[in-house]
Amino acid sequence: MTAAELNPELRKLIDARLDAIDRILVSAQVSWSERRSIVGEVETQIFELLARRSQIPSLEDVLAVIDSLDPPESYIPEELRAPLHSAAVDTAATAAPPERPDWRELPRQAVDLVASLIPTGLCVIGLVIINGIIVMIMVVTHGVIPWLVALGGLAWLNYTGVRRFRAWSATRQGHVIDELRHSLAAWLMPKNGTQTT
Amino acid sequence: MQQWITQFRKGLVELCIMAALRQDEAYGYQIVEQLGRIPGLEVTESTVYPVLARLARDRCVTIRTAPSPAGPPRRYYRLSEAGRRRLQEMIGHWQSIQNSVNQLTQGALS
Repeated sequence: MTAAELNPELRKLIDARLDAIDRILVSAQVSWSERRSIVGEVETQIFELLARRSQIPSLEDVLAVIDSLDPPESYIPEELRAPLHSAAVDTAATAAPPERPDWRELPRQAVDLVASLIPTGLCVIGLVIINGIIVMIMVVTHGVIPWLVALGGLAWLNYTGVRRFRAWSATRQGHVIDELRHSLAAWLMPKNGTQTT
Repeated sequence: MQQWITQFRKGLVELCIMAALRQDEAYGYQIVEQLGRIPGLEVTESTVYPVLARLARDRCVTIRTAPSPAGPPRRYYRLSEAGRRRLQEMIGHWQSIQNSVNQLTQGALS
């Protein structure tokens, strides 16, 4: 008997078991080559066992051989079982509904917000001071070259400053507003989760 | 106790599979049957096939495919040179542990 000679209905039963093993291995993130190897060996074993039972296997033969196999989940390689378990725990943790903001979180969020605003404020103040100094130099010197140098420096300084600020604000886009909104929501939200009016 | 036995066996399966291939090549189910006959080891196909796939991935075995009188072609596994070196290291390590544990369990170490 060969695989091609087997009754198509019986072949479906074998394929269903092989598919079940493959699905389990896919869920455990076993590589394609290893899955193919494992499932191929199981298929070969099934036909070895069928050939030992009968030249023309019956439904009972196929069912008996399939029953003699280990359950599909037992084919997961040992080294992948622990990560799979921890991944399941992680999934369960992430599936849990997020906790509502608590008023006690406000100080930490406020500190984060202030800490993120301080560099911006310092940059703006520094830029204003430097611009002021350059303008004062221009006024005091009255020369053409100092004017050109000073204007060039001023343009470069503003260009660089604006570029850096835009780059920084792009990475922080939405964060500051969100943090502010969460802080206010947390502040207004009592611990039992009902909105104060 | 059963859990300890299971864990202990699992650690030895790779060594046993490679040792089974030490002399000659063998196909998957042949290895399962060979190791299944060893008292106390009691391995089944779900333990052997993933290890064979890993050994193939690590190039510790080479695979030759040959027609089977029953069903799909058989995949014959043979230890590669890298596999033989790994087996030698594993045997050395196993013997070292075995000696130490023997001495410990017999009270020679304290």
